Amino acid sequence: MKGSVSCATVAKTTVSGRVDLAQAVTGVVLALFTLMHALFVGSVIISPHIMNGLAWILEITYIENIVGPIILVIMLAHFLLAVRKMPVRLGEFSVFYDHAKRMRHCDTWLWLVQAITAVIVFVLVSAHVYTIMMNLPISAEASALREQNGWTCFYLTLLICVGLHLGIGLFRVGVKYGFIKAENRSVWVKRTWLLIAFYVALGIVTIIRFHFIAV
Amino acid sequence: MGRKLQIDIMRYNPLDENSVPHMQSFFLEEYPSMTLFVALTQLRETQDPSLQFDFCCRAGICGSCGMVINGRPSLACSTQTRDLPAHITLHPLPIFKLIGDLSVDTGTWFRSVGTRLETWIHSNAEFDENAIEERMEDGLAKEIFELDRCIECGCCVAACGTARMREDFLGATSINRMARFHLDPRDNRTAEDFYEVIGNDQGVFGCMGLLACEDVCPKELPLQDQLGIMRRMLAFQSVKNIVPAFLRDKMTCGHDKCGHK
Repeated sequence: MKGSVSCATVAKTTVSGRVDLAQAVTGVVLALFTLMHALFVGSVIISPHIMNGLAWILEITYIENIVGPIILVIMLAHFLLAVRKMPVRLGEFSVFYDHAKRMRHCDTWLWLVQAITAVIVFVLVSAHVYTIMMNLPISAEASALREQNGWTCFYLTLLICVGLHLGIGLFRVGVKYGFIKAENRSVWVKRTWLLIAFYVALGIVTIIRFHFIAV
Repeated sequence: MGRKLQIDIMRYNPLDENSVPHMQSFFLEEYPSMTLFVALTQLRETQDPSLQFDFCCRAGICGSCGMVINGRPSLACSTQTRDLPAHITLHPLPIFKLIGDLSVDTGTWFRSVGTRLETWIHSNAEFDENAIEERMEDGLAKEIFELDRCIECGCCVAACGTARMREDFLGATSINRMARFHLDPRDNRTAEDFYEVIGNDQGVFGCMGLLACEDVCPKELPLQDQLGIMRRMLAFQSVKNIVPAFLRDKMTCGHDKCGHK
């Protein structure tokens, strides 16, 4: 009598690990880019000529044309990878909100901040990159014109959301991958808030500086 | 003269179809070194014999008195009322099956996870009942014991935002348990074997690093550290075939049990 033995086994998959790593790596890359970006634009505080000089270097090396779209793609990838953790269903959101309220636990609240800023940053950055790419080349005067023509609220919102998302996100990657441990956690909490404060402060001074450039 | 405590307790008996979940206030005079265990026992003996809650050891060892105390999961027996405000709110631990009032069934949950993850030593060695037990370095034995101190009270699971949203998430206690076997040289499971059971969004990759598990653990176990070690090892396991050889050797320290000291 012939038996019917199936040799089908459950295929081993490496997807979960790779997806998780990719989320962390894209996040860290975006954070590093954003910090460089803040320093680059912040050079206008010293002088618009420095910013224009840097912009010229980026332009003749085609970096601005290449990096812009790449960053947009990385951001989209990061968003899609991270969205699996978001409270997608209404029930999940209300359970988490209720949980955070009762727990009175800072890190639990910060995750909600992370999820909300993620959505805001995604929308605003898309608009920001689109505007920049449509108005190349980058120059201190072009940025100043935007700031003086009613974009300040937009950029302040973006600045604060990016600062929070970036700082909390880097801290989380450190925790999740075991770089931040119980013994050094309090030090890294301080460093995270310092980074966020530095980023936001630098951004605010930059925006103020743009208001004082004659266009 | 102690403070007058107001203790609000969630009351609900799932077996009684007329029972509706509601909060009931009790009042009690506090005395020195009163624990919530003492307070609840007194309430049951003097005010309401139908009040349900679990206790066994009264010393933070059995893990049966886990409950949500003023919003945070903790053990009632090792919580002194003097550390709490005069108004105390008690809820049963979420996630676990409610037996009634403050009593929950953590056993079924832990048993099902334990069976699913096979949380016991996996060894191919033939058992010889006459052989002397294998020796283990003192340092390693202590390291394993540190993780073995988990009393399965369920506080870390109840405090976890991920576990609250996704009921299939295994929680810190399960990953800590796997870390314990990962440390144990008698366990023959490789990184690949561990990956198969906890290398997914229900396991290590589901953790969002909210740190609440570690912050509420009554035994102060290094839960987040263990999650980090296991996650790093299993994430590496998923890419080890695509990273260059020199990097691979550096990351594994030449053996499979890297991550733990």
